[in-house]
This record gives sequence, C-alpha cells and structure tokens, in this order.
Amino acid sequence: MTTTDLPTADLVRPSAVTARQLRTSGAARRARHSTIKMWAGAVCAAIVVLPVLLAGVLPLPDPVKGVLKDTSLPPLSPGHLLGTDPNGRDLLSRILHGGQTSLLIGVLAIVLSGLIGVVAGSVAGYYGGWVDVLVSRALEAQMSLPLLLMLLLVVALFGPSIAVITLVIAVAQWPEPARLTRALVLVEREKPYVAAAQVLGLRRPLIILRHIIPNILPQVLVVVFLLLAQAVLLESSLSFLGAGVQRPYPTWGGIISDGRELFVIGTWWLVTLPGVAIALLVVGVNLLGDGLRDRVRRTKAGAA
Amino acid sequence: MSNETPTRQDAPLLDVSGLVIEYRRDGESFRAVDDVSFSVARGGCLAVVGESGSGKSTIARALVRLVKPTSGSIMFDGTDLATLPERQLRPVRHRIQMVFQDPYGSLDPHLTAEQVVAEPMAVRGERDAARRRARAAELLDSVGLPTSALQRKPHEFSGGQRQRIGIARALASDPDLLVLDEATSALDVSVQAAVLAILARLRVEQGLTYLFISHNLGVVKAISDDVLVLRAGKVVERGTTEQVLSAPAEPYTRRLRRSALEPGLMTGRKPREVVRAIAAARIAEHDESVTA
Amino acid sequence: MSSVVDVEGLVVELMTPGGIIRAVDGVSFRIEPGETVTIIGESGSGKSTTAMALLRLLPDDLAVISGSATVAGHDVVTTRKHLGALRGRAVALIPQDPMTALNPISTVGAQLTEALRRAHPELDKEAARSRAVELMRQVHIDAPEKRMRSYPHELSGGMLQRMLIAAAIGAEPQLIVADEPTSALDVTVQAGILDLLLELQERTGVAMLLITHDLGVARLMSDRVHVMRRGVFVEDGQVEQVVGHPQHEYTQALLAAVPELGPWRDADPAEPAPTQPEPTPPGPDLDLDLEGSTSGGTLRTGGELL
Repeated sequence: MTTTDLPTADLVRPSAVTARQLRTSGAARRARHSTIKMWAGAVCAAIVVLPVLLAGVLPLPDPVKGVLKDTSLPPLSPGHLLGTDPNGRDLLSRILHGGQTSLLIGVLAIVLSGLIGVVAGSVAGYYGGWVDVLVSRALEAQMSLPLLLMLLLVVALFGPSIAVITLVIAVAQWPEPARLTRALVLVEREKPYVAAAQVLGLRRPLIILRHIIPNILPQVLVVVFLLLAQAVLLESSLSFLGAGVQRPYPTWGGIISDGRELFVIGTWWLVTLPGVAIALLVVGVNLLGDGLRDRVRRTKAGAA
Repeated sequence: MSNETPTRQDAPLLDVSGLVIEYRRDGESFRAVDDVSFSVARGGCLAVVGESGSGKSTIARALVRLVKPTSGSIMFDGTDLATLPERQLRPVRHRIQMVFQDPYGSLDPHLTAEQVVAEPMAVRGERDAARRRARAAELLDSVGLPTSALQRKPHEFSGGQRQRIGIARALASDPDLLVLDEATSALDVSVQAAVLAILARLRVEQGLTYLFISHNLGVVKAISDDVLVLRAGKVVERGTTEQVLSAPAEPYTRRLRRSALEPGLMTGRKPREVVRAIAAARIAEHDESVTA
Repeated sequence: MSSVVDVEGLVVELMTPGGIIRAVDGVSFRIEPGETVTIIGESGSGKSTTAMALLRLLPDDLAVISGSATVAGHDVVTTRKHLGALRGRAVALIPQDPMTALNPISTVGAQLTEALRRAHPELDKEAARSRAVELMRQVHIDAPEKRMRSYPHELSGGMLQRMLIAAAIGAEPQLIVADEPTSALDVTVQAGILDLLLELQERTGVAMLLITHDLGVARLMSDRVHVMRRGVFVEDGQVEQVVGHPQHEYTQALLAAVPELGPWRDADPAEPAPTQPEPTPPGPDLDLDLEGSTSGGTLRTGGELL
C-alpha cells in the first residue's frame, strides 16, 4: 500500500549492533559451530575414506601375501609407511583394503536399516492402531536386546559372510530411524496439508509417499548417516572377536585382534594404527552428521 | 451411482438431517455433534457459528469425510454421503472441497504453488502437464496471485497469500460446495478483508455454494446469507443473517452478539478519570518506591 | 508524579540467521499511573517485541536494544540490574496463551502461591496460600479452595487466564503488561476477562500496557493508543480520536477492514447474568467457560452504552 511517513528530521537511525555482538549472537554462533563441525568431520572422515576408496588403484603391496624377510617392521620403514605385521604384510595396505570391507558393510547396512526403518516408522505413525502396536513393540524388543551378543549369536548360527554380517547389523540398527520416522510422521499427519490430500481422495500409501516422506526425509537421512559410525564399530567389534570376515582377508578388527599379544612386546603399530583409522572415521562421521543435523533443523525452522 | 434421486433445480444442494457424531475416549463416548439438521441452497452461503466445542469444525470435517458420522444423513445433491462407502465416495469427493484455517500448515512445504494447485487435477486424471500448468496459472490468477508465484514454495508467501493458494487448490477440483473452516480467522484484519472479497467474487463468478464456519460474527455478516448457531453440539438458533445478527432470539446468541466488540460503534466506557484518581490517591498514600 | 513507563526512541534489532532485522524502529511513549496505553498492530508490526523488550524477555544473543526506557523509574535498556526488582513485583505480565504459560506438572495453586511469595518474600507458606485463595475470589473463580489443587490441563482457557491475572495483581504491581490477553480465548470468555481487567484497574489503579491486534478490544480498554506498523508508530492519540477520526491512511484502512456488524436489538436489556452455571456436558475439550463467573454481562456494544 502506501509507505509509512517517518518524521523527516529523523531518517534512518544508525544501527546499534556492534560487530562483536553480531559475532557472538546466537544465530552466528550456531551457524559457525555447525560449519566448523561439518568441516572438521568431513576432513577426518576424508582422511580415512578417500585412501580406502582408492585402495585398488594405489601402488600398494599385496595385503594378503606377506614378504617373509620384512616381518614386524616399524612405521616409516622404507617401502612400508605404516610398517608390517609378523607375516611381512604391509600394514597400510591391510588397513586400506580392510577399510573397503568395513565401509562396504557399513554403507550397505545403513541403507538397509534406513529403508526398513522409514517404511516401518511411516506405517506405524500414519496408520496407527495395531500396525503401530506391532511395529513399536518389535522396535522396543529389538532395542532391549544386547546388541553384540545378538550379533555373535547370529554369526555363530549362519556363518561370518559379508551378507550375514550386513544383514545382522541392519536388523540391529533399524529401530532408530524407525522411531524417528514414526515420531515425525505423527506430527506431519495432523497438519492440514495432509487433511487436504485426504479430502482429495488420495489413498493412504500415496499420501505417505508423496506428501509426508519428502518433508521428513532430510532429518531421517541425517540420523541414518550417523548410524554409519555405529555400523563400522559393530563390524570391527565382530571381527575383533573373530566373528567377522575370516582370515586372511584383512579387517580392521581382525588386524587389531591379531596384533594384541604383540602389543606388549613393543609392536604397537598393529593395534594403534588401525584403531586410529577407526577413530578418525567414527569421529568424522559423528561430527559431520551433527553439523548436518543442525543445518537441517535450522533450515526446517527457517522455512516454517 | 446408487441411491441418487433426480434433482430439481430448487432442491437444496446440501441437506443435513439428524447428524450425530460421537467420539470415544478412554471408554467414554462424547457427542461432538448432537442431532444437527440444516440445508443450504445451491449458490447460497450458510455460516455455522459457535465457540470452541460447539461442534462446528466437526461438522465441516464430516462433510469432507475426514470424520465419519455416527448417525444421520448428509444429502448432497441427492446422494447420502454419510453412509456412502469409500469406493463410491471417491468419484464424488471433488465436488466438496475444503479451505483450512491455518495458512502455515495447509500447504505441503516441499511443493511449489503450481504443484499444490495442480495436484487435484492430476488426481482426477488430467495427465497433460501443460494443461495442468495452464489451469493452475489461471486459478492463481483468479485469486489475485501473479504467474511468478507458480514456482515459489509456500514459505516464500505471506499468510494471506497462502490462504489464496489454498482457495485456488480447492477450486482446482471443480467443486460445487466449498467448506471454509475458519478460513479467515488466522489472518490479519486487513488481509482478511481482501480474502473475503475474493471469496465473495468467486462465489458469484463460479456459481459456488459455501458452508462458512466461523466464530467471528462480523465476517459472517459480510459473507453469508444464512446463519446456524451451535453450542455444545446442538443447534441453538437459525435464520437469515439479518435476523440472527440484528435481532437474535436466543439468550446464547445474544450473548455472542454482545461479546462482539465493534470499535466503530462503541461509545463511552467506564469512567477512566475514576481509575486515574484512584491511582493518584494510592501513590500519594504509599509513596511506593520499588525495593530491590 | 513520574510516569510508570517512559520510552524514548526505543530500537530493537534482531540478529537472525537471515540478517539484522529492525523489529522496533524508534518508538516513544509514556504510561502514567492508572492509564491504559494500547499498542495496536497486525502481525509483524513489532508490538509484541516492544513489550518483550521492555521486560527484557528477549535473549541477549538475539536482540540488541537501544534508545531509552524506564519502567517504574528503573532503566531497563542499558542494564539488567533492576529486572529482579521489576519482574513479578512492580511489573506483571499476562501472556497470550494461558495454557503454555503455566507449568503443566504443578498445580495452579502451587504456582500462584510461588508467584506471591516471590513478590512478597515476607509471606510464609500459609499466609501465601490464603492470599492466593482470596485472589482467586477476586478474579471470580468459584470454589477456589478446590481449584487450588487443579492442574492447568484440567481448567479452561478462561479460568487459566483468570489465574494468571490473579498472579499478576497479587504482586500489587504498578504496571500490567497484557500481551494479547484474550486472543486465545472464545469471544464470550473474552468479554469476561476484559471486564475483569477493567474492574481490577478501577479498584487498584494499576497502569496497563495492552498489546492487541483487535481494534474492538483496544477501543474498550484504552485511554490512549499507538498504531504500530513495521516497527514504528504511525498514529497516536486518545482512543476515541484515533478510532473515531483516524488521521493516518493505515489506521483508516485498518478500521475500514473491520467487518461491520451494525446496531442490533438486544431484546432483553434487563436480562440478569446467569446465576448458576449451566451444566457442562462431559468431554475432553469443551470450553464453555461459565466457571461460576458472576461478572458476565456488563459489556454492551452497539445496542447500548457502556
């Protein structure tokens, strides 16, 4: 319409906001924190993930066949950046190839658990009633089981193949995305835009797929991503206990397990270095995921 | 379609009879709508007025089948919607559409305005994307929004604009009856006036029938022909807008009317000078200073 | 007699992710003892932000307040020192949504008593309790002894608002800030609450800063009004003047946009207020709110003079 008339003598008041206040304002701090987290996380994770992805093309010694004359060399030995194990196998190569296994299992597991979780959570949240009862009780039962023991049991029964381990980790992890999805769906379901879709006569699965899931997906995806760290840790724990992918294929847990007794006699690198790799990946994924979650939450709040 | 009788032009478009809607909660049943009957003529506008708990919103939701009636009939152009099974209801749904109260939740946040308005057409089988887009642009234009609005998402619009998109979406189904559930209650007064004008114009232009749910008597007067007053699920009074608002018969309606504050008409008020004198006396008496 | 509120060139800037927003851009007003000053505005006008800024309820990492403002003689802009003396004592707040303003896991009686003891530390528990009951009577809540033990979700919106008003006046404040006090309530309940506020003001002479978007409420309650738009006051004056003869385009448009109801015939002007509460049907979210209120029925619009 028309502009408001300000008294002419009193044009634009200068801003009282100092640079320092702006820097320390809640909004700026939160943005900064999430940016720092995302970068720090990305760097940590990249340090591990990038070389692992390139393991096939890098000029690395064979991770399975050792050179007998080069046993138990410490890190920074010529030709062996991270040293070798008692069988003369290059540690860097074993860590990188082992990482491929761990990452593969981890990624497949979270994709699977994400899918199961979103589907289960959506139907539980939207349909309610006995579907919700079924899913929620299954969820709770799953979460109350001791994770590692359960995994060990399944692997003992069905053998330690990549498929079994992936499946087992996925089944262990589906409750978390399911619970979040269910909660988010419960909220969205009450909103009038969902009622509008119902008034159009859209069938329920379509409403869930077309209207509800796209609006909750960013938040759920962040949580699924964060599960990668847990999946990798689970896989490493399994291989450490001997229930992972079997020798001679390298796995992080397996390398650590093999190097355990040697640790006391001074061969520290077999335990520490794979451990550092695991730690870097887990910390990186957690930081990155945390930063992403902050970003997603703020975008959602801002677009409201 | 079964149980459809041939319609006469002067028969009411909507004829609700003995409507009862009960909810169960913790084993107790609660009657949100208790034996309500009313009818709306084709092209007319009936306002349903009441406070919270009156059942007005429940009736609105029942008309679009968001809630199932416990008993009673909802005759819409010869068909009883109350008992119609879902499969038979689906092809008729497009004829009754709803405009919702909350502009900030009634549009899917991840869709563009065009997608929101085009969806009803796609649901009815319009496969040609170009035709959907053209009609969407047309509809948005009819509610006063420019073509640049098409590609924007809901969060880029103000409350009043979002309500207009909601109206355009409702019209995209080519309905006969629009149920407006407090459609202007969440809007600023200046925006409300604009949206009411749009609604009044569209009713005439498109030959629509309105059921207007509201608690705001001024808005009701501006747009409706007839009024139904509800309280605790029961009908208290009914009549033309003129009758009910200018000469209400029932005590409850009079109470509603009395509580409607109209700035332009209010004259005098409690003597402020008295209040001020008391304040002055009190301060002189206590000489109050705030203690830390 | 010094003003209860003295605001000069108040500016509130919000540091949001999207940039610095000037929610309040230089407003000045005064409130004298016993007066009701209303800030009328639509959404986004900055009216609530003004009130929040006066009470320093905006977080420091969000809002930068400049200009000058004193409440009950204390500077509230340059320092937070005096807030303890002001909040709940010299100044009381009646918020918009009574349901969310109260702690859901504590009885209303406990919360009222707590508010009283904060305002009057010399009261012991028993004294505070009986004062609470007395206050509830003053705000026309029936069966106050029983109500003390109720939880917020058991009471209707109107009753909760009366509780908050009881807490407000219990502090014997110099200023009540009412931020859209009836917007969340049904229209018949609103009448009772506004009537109560007027009655209390008459009795105690407390000054009031009222924030509202409703011109009818403003017309009823105010001495003076300020019409706010986009952070500035576009018109100020006595309420009869502003509503009767608006000068600014925006005010005129605002008044023109209020749908007219016109005069009406109140068939029974001598109709007495209901002497007993009508039976409330059972149900989870019914808000008929007769609550044994005996003060209803003193408002008249259109048909009669107030």
